[in-house]
Amino acid sequence: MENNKVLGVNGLKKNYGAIQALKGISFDVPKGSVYGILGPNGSGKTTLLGIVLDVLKSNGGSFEWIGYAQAQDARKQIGALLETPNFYHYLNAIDNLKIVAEIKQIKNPDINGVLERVSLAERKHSKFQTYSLGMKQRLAIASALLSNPDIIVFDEPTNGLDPEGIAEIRNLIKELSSEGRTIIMASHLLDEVEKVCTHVAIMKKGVLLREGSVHTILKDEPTYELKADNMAALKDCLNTRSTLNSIIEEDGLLIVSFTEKVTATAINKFCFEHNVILTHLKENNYSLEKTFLELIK
Amino acid sequence: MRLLKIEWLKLKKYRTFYILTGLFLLVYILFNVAVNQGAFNITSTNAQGVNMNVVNSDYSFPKVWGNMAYYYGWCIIFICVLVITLIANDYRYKTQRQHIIDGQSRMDYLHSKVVLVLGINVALTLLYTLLCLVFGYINGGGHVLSGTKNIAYVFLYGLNYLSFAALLALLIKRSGLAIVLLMAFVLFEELVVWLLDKFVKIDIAKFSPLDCSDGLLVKPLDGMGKMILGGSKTSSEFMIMIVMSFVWVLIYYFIARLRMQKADL
Repeated sequence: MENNKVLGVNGLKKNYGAIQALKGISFDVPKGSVYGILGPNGSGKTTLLGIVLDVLKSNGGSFEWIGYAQAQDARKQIGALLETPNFYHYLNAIDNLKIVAEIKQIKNPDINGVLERVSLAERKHSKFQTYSLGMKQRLAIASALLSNPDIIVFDEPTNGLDPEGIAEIRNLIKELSSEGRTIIMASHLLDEVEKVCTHVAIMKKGVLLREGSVHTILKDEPTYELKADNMAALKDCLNTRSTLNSIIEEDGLLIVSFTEKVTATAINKFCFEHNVILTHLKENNYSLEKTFLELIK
Repeated sequence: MRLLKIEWLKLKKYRTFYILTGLFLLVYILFNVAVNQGAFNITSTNAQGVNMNVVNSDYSFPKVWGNMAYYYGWCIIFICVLVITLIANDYRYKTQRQHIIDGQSRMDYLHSKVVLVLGINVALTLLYTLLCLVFGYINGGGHVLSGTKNIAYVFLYGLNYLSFAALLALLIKRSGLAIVLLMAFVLFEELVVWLLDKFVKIDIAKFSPLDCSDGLLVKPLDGMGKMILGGSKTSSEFMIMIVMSFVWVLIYYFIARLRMQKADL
């Protein structure tokens, strides 16, 4: 497994004063995946990416870019866009990218090439301050591609783009992925993650709710609400079931899903056989949208 | 060198850089021309033959070195504003954040600012030297080399002021506030030093952050000025001021370093 992941995150915590923005997040990003970090605004996505990109300092936990001795070496190779496009307003696209190339120590940067790839070549001599929000975002994506990176980190890459631009960027992400690159992408749009990602981590208020391949996480499988007098025993017994997909405790209920097709009857029987008497059992059939909304509620 | 190149890429198309450098040059040259032409002095001598001049308007060698060094100290404020603006720009445009994301280490970022301050300071010291030579040769006189220790003082003075300005910009992140605080600090420091000297009889001028370098650039007094405000410093006092200037620059550096290591950007 070690060789198959590009980023390992282990128990990351971050406090802003009394606010806990990240409450111990752990996951691995598999090589070659399009890894979506999905969650509503304020769930900690940008904070998480900020920490792995060293602009924020964590209050606990660790992360590792696999295969790089020094984190800054990893960052030089990685192409990343965090939150907003950050460029010198008084310089044009070419001059801004020259600075990026110098920082990343790229020998012969293909500045025209990346600008063409994001359809910005026509305006490459205009100052950054004259750009529309969408053009600024494109320049940030061009900048991320400058080092011809194996790993790309995008934070809300379609922010501020018009529908045509959104489609273009999503196609670009798919294209980049098909070239064998790993893409880590934060988004609050379920639809976006579903369309372009292979893996997803769902976050809410600094907690990782679920993580895995899009196929298993965002499928139309039912979830079950369970309750018993002895909740600890119920949890233990469910954990022995190998097909358990996820288990979340919420409002005194356990919300569980399985990787196999099960019926409510089968669950009831299974628990009874493990000496747990259910006091509540409800099957929820969700669409993707509903699953997501339910998860982050 | 690579860090200097990055800073140069940001500078060379930045209009404010040319405006502030131009203002500095203009004010600095005009000021010295004015003093040279006898501004601030009413008459050279009174009826009794006593020299009534307050400031020295002798711009021949070797006096030119000291005169031009002192007024350099007044004009450096333009360059302090430039340094603050350049560093605050990185916060305003969030490019400092982007530099880290793009793979600069936090220490590399800090050192790019050290290199920036050093580079500007070296350029300014060279400019000072060049202007002294120009003024000196126009006004004649001998002993071209005997006042050249002022070159080192000018370098040290600039290093202290520009480093302090850079630290303020790194800590405060906003150019307007940092500029106001720099000016407030300069005034405040003068007042505190004066009050302590007056009422507690402790002279901390040689030890306080910016004042220790102020003392290196000696007021070019003459005649009456010398009689009223005179009093020259001993070489051991100069030694203390030189050492203290370096000490403070190192202190600024370590405060900035601590900040860069710990802070969220």
